[in-house]
Amino acid sequence: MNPPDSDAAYKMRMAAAPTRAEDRELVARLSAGDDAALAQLYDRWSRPVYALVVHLVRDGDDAEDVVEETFWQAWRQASRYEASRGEVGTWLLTIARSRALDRLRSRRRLREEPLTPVLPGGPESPAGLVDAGDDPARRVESAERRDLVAGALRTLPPEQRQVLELAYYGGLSQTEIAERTGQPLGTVKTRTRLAAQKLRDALALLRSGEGGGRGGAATVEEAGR
Amino acid sequence: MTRDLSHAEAVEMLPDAALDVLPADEQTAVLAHAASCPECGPALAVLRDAAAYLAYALPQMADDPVRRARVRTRLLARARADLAVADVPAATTGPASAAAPDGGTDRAAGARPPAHGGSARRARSAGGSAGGPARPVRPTVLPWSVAALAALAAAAVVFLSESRSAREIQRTAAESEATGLRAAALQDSLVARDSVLNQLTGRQVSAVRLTAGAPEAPWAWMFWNHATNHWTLLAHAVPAPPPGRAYQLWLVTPKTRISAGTFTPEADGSAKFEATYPLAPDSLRAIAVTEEPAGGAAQPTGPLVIQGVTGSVTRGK
Repeated sequence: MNPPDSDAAYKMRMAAAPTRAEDRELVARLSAGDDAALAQLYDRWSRPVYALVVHLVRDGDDAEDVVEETFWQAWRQASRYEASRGEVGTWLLTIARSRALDRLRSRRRLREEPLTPVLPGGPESPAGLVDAGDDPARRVESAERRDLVAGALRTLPPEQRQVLELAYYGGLSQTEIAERTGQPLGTVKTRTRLAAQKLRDALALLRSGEGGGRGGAATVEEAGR
Repeated sequence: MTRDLSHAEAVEMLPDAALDVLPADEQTAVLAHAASCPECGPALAVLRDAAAYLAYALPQMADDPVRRARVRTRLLARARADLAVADVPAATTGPASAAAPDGGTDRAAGARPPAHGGSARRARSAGGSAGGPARPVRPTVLPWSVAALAALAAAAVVFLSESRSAREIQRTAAESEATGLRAAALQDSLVARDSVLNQLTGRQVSAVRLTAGAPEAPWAWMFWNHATNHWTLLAHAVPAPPPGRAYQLWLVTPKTRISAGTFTPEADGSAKFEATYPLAPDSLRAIAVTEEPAGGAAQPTGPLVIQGVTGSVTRGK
């Protein structure tokens, strides 16, 4: 499958290359115990990480804790990061989402909260775009990446897009998605897998711009633990 | 308990695991398989990367610089404490306390005696990379290690008693005792480090930086745990005091200067000092270290070594 907007992807790869290299350098310094690098990495990535976390947990205080734990985990596990396995941003966002889901599911168990995920563009979705930071290159990268991912989502059939959004943005499990949509669990599983595979193919160019091979030991999966 | 998945099962579930939509046991099983499978590990990484890109499509929240700054402060304090705990010897060097002009209580009650004869060795995480940040080793491993050492030593004694001379048995017993003592000392130091880490990383911890103003001069961080009234000073580049002298720590309030106790640095210039003293959160104006007679003074009389003012306080929520 071709990417939905290869020109945008190309422009973004070119714009993002220096910042990605800087991110990798920061993580290398992190693994050497450089707390100044932690401060810089936080300054670069705390906005999108905070935005994702607060979207998932929908509580400012909880989001604060989760963001802190995200970067703390990055500090403690920096030596396990391998640049060949993905960019630093997706590594951080994977950690952040995993920790946010831990918090969300723990809260649901304790308070028996209803499953009311907030989806992008929905009526409860927070308005306004996040300040992408002071760096113009990062603002351009953020905007173009947002367009590219939104375009990839639009290529999915509506039913697949729905389960993907409920899973990622809503933090729902497959069982919860089945309950919410009234679809059989098997159908939800099939749609989830197809959607994830199509998304992977649609966004392949984003990864190809990172440089380096795809081999090596697992690291991204460690982020979710 | 994690169930084992066949390769085909794992491949089928990789997209689910990438989105973290599986029940916990199945998620764990897929991750365990992917961690050791040369095909599934990279495949899962690619799927997870693709899923992570979805975050960029969010119509994101307006920025909250106050919250982000607060998290930044806490995070950096934790990181610096993480480094400091690994770099500073665990043994406390100073006497427990000195005079307490405004109440006469022992304000350094939390100070610990030196742990088994001096500085503890630097604890480095076995999982860390070469040159990576020092991580305090969790002490939960040690009871097993001590038990294993004791069992080995006992077995060795029994074996040797049947085949070696009495002198050899005595020597082996002495060595095993020494090994046990070293293990116990190591365990104590790790427990102490864990305790310090807990005191430094709590939600209600303020940090005050103490400096002397010159690049090569002594500097320190004071961590004040408001929840436990616990104070922890981690100092560096502190020269050895003249004979008969020591350093004295002062909590400065609008009305008085409270002695928190005296301490002397390690040979490498580092020092850790702990005290427990209740103080109203808004009453602290400064923290100072002066050079005083070894037994401490009722009020500061000697030269100022380092100080930090409350303007440099950073506090967790």
